[in-house]
Amino acid sequence: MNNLIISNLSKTYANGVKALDNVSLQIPTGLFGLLGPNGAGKSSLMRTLATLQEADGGTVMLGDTDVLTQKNEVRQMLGYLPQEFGLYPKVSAEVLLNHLAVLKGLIVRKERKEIVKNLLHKTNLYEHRKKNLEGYSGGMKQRFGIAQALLSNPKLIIVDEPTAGLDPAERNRFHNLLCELGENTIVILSTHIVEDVKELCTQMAVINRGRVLLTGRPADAIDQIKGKIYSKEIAKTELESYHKKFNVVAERLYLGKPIIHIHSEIDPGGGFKSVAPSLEDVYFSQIFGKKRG
Amino acid sequence: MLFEIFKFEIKYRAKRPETYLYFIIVLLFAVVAVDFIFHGEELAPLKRNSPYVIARVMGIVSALFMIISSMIMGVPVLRDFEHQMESLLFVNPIKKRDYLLGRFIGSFVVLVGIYCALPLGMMLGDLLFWKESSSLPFHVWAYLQPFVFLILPTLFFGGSIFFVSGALSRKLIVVYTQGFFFLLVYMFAISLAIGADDLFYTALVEPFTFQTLRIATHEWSIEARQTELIVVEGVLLYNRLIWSGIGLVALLIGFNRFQFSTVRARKSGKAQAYMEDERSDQASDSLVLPNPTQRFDPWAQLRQLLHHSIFGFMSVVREVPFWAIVLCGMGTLVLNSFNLGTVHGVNSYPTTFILVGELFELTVLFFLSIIIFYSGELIWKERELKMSGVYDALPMSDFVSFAGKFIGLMMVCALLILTLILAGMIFQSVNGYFKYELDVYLTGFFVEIFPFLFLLSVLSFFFQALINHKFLSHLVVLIFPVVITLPLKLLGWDHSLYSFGGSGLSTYSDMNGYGHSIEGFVWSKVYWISFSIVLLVLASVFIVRGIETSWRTRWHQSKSRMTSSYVRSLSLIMGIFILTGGYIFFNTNILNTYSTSASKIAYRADYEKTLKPLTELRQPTIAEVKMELELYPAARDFTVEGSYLLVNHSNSSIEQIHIQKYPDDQMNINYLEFDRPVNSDFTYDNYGYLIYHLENMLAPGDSILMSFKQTYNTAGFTEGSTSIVVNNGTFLENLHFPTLGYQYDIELDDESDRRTLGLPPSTGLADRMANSTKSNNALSNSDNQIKFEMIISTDSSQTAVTSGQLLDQWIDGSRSFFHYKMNKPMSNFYSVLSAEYQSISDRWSEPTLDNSVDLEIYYHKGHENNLGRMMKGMKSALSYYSENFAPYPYEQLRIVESPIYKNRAQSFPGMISFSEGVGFILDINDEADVDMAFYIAAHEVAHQWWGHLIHPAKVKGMDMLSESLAQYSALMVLKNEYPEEKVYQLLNQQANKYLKRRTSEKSLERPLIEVDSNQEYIYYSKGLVSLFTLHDFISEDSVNSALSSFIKDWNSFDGAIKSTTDNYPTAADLMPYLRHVTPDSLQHVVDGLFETVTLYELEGLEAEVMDQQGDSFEIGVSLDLQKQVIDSVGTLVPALVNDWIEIAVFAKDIEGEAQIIYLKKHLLTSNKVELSITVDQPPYRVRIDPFNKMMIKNAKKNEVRPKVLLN
Repeated sequence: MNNLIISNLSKTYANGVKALDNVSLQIPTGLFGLLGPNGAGKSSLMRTLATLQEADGGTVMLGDTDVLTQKNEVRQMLGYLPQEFGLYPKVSAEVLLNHLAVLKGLIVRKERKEIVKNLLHKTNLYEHRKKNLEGYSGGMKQRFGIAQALLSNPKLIIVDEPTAGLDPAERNRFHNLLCELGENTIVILSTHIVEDVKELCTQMAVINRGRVLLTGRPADAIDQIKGKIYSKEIAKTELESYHKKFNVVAERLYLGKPIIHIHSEIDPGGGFKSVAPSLEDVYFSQIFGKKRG
Repeated sequence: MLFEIFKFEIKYRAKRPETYLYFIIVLLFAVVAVDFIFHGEELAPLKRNSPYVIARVMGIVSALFMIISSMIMGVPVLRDFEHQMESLLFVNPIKKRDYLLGRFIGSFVVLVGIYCALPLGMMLGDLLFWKESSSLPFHVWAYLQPFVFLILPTLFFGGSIFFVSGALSRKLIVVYTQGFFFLLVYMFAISLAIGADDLFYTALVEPFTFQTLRIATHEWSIEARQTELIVVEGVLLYNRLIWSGIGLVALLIGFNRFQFSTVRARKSGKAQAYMEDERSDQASDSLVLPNPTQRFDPWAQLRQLLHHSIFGFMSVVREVPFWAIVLCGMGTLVLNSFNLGTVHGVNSYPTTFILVGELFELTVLFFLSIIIFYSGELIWKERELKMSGVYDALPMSDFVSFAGKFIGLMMVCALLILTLILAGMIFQSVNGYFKYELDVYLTGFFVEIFPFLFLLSVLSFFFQALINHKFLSHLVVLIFPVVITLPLKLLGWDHSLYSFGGSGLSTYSDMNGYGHSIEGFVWSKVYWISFSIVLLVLASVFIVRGIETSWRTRWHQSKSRMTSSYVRSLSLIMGIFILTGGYIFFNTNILNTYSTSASKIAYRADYEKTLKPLTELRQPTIAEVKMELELYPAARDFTVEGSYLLVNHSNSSIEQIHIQKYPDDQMNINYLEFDRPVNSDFTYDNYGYLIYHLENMLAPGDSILMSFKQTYNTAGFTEGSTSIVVNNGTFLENLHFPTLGYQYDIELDDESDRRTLGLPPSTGLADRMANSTKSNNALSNSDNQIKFEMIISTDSSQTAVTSGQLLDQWIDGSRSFFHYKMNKPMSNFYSVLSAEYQSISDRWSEPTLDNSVDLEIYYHKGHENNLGRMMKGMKSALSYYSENFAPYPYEQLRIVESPIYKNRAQSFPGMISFSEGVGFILDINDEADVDMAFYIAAHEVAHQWWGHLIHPAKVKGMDMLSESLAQYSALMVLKNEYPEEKVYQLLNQQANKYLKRRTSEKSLERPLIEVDSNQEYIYYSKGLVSLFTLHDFISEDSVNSALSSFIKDWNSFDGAIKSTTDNYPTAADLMPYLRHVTPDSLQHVVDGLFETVTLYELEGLEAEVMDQQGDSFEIGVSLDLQKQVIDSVGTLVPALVNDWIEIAVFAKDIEGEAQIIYLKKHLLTSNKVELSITVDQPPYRVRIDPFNKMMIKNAKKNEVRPKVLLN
């Protein structure tokens, strides 16, 4: 399987916002996690990969295919689940899935019927396949979105915040499905949930403000900050002064009291304990670390 | 708070670009509105800036731009819901009143602001561009006054309704669909206006007042309409009050019903999510997804296209609004009865062709609405549902995606058409007509109409794709035809190669089908459809796919979207487009000559300017016509070779002979010779006007023989098809052969064209006293009676018919020959018809003399229904006229069916051409209808006297001598053969027709003896009633003896007076004969009926039973009758009542039917009169002028039930 190679991809919106700033990534077969806060440029990148948006500069190659210009070729290999989407209200899941299958080039009736049926089973919608989509709950809609993305056995799967709105059980099933697909397909998964990436992805990138901050295997990333993360339980009132003093990468409440994680090359002392870093620490140290400069 | 919300609304609108766009659109349209709206309808004699014209134009524009009202007023509340702002908004401490009122007033102010462009634009138009020396002085108030009093109420009620429905339904689609409701109301009002006798109610319910205005001012003189402001009073005031009231009521209802909360009680079920089964699908985890084949070859794309089209089709058909529109359309079909080619209240059989036309005409607006509306819906569907992320990333080609939706819409149209066909067939079956003619349905709809829908849809799709703004595209599609056609129209350019959509199809004829026009039609459709496919392909390349909407990006993208296969198909279609265009050009401009309508008009103007002076030269007259005519109907050619004997009937010698060739490029004169030496003068050859100088002058009384050969050749097809020679139903007239001298027919008659080209206004017919033109008669310039002989050959499948006796008939190979010769002199007014005729014959003999006439009817197979009635009409008419007027001069009389292209009946010597649309397909019900086939036949036969024995002079009043007298004669025949009530039925119709049509008279209503040639409502309708009324006063015998003496003195054969003068009789010449038989006491009746325009209006009528003694009832009747006379400038002047008026009293008989028990004329000598009438049965009703002999206005108010004071 070919890699997806993104080089120097840039995009500035009409209002001056830099959505993509010289983004370069190499995405191999397998699950690739795109991690970043809201507005980081994840969706812009994914829309560009899904042929829905133009880039100002840079190239994207999928094997021999130029993603930015050979859009039709890309669309033939693509399975795309947008972040937010609607569906025709007055048709049933089965009819719409069948319709989309035809439009994806599944002309052979028998094959089409089979994959539609399988996908409806896979996404647990089979029972409701005859019902109009306007009555579907958020989770059901999301699962339908996943089903349609998988219709043509795509070589490139782009899923933008796929597990939003799914309950834990559904999320698990979906993750399993993605893993299965990732065995021989490029699957790009954007999320702001670090947990998802940790569980699933063989490769990942952290982006913020249109720039790639970090890329590589999640384990390698964790290794890099091994021994540099310290934790301390503090009082609420002290929070601000700690922020000024240290590179705080995480703060959370434990039994109502703040616990902070800081990134530091040396042992800061003062009651800080060295802890084993998590992917979350990597993520936050990248995002907040860079912010501070 | 209210003010805050109001301010917010204004600010919001001020920031939206649409607001300004709407303003500009209204402004630009307003500048040209007068010319656009009144282009077809002649404005003259009104000036374009007269208050009446301004007010009407404003009314029409306000109706056209109702869509803007809906866009501004429908959305303010809706917007909060669309943007899901309502939860944020409604938690704020805003009062419902402030919220609604603020939003309403704010939007309304914006709406009024936008509409201010209307008076502004019209003022601009009048001041800047169209300033004419003849226009009226500029008055600002003339624009502001109708805007304030007429347009603001329209905006208010429209705005209120849109606002309320938007607020209550919270659905844009509802705001939309009520546009159709307005359409329905409007069309209903129009159909009432056409159908109703009492225009008061029409005037009351018409929402946009432009009909109301016409009705409210119909009493006004031209001067008044020219200068007086429209005062809002009477019916106009009530109308405005009613509609403002409706607006107010709508607002109140909306106010009460609006729920100021976010959650509304929802119907259970639909919007509720399905209960989910918690158990997961156990089997699924182990399911391995198959690896299906993806195909993108052309065949697969075709399958995709088909699938996509059907999906789009289904998505429209599933929509509730779609069915709402369809129901509205069907509603109009039910509300409006079909106009089945009604002739004097008698319907035609519901033939398929008539139904196709009617079905489409009544529903065309709904088709347009569906196309414009659903093209937007289909294109925007995915984006509005936020599904475009999924949809746009599908591996479907741009064209399949775009064209699929387009074809889906076309399928919707096809479905609607099939529904209409079904409706038509049901209608036919219900009416007992079972000749369905499915082929005519299918060609009518799918060949003639469908391409039009197709092209319109392409435009709509094209603009939706390019403009990328749904509402704006709707507007552009509505405006585009105006923008594109108006300049061409003004320039007078009309070639189908650049008039979008191309040429139309000629009317369908049962005899000739679509005839030859189908060829040019099909080519022009291929041309335009290939053009429109180019537009579709381009649109599919430029349509937004993905999230990039800027034009720069789309332009940039289009380069890569334009793949080689696109380029290939585009070049193929462009190739077809160019080739068909070339082929059309070859046919219309190279094989034939094409001239724009502007240049045709210029040609006619030049003709008049150059050649009219030559009318001073006296020309010889035709005394004998001998021709051999070869018709080739299949090739649409003819050759004619023959001779005219020309005689100098004047008192001086003639040096030049002027010959006019029929102005048609397909017509060629091969030779034209005289039997004495001449010098040809080709100075005016470009007008087909040839001058021959005689070497030896033609002395008075001398004659000269002119022989000629003329051919008519059809090659390929032309722009705007002619129907002289057609495949079945050729109709040639004498004017198609060489004519003598200047031809008045070629002159321009459109007043504005004449003005622009510097010609004096045509005053219609010349004044009655103009002696110079009295020597011209109605039929031809200055021709005497002729001898006539013609040999016609035609295809052997056809029969050729003309005037005269059929001397001989033979077949030679595939040609049939007919030799006709008229045994007596006849008018120089003849025609030749050739078609595949069936015929029936009969004979009529005059009882006293041994004179007999052969009667024949030549008809198209299938048109047999009314042959008996027509034959009976001919016989009864011949009997009545021979006995009462003068003997019939010829030995034969034929009715010959002619194709529908000239949809009327015409009387030639001994021969009547009867269009297939006039009498043959009437469905006459003897119970309910007047036998119009009989009546029209009798009317046309009467022209053998009034037209062919008496030739009226070509001056004002001409048509009283021909048409009014023919109407009267036919009525007398009807009276002899049918019950009296049929006579009254016809009179009633004609009286109402007169009273109704006179309200739309644009110039001056004239009395009968001065009637102009375009005032049909006077000489047909009023003429009939007036002559009948005269006969009612002085007796049938008296009228007939007057007419008979008139013929004796004035007939063209041997009239005692006619033989002493060159002049032909005028209506004034008839008057002494009528006065002669009228007693002195009734002379003023003759004044009122023929020499003035006198109108009566019954202002009040009361009746009560005063006294009863045994079987004797005394009724007191008091009435208030107003009488008015129109003066020479058109003003109504009150006149003193001194008239005989008929009063009838009805009683109920045993079966409850009203029976006349008293009928008598009373002399009224003042406006208000009290009468006492004694009857011998209990009176049931009292009716004034029961048979409409006086044509009293408000005829419905002329009847009362007497009050009974005594028990």
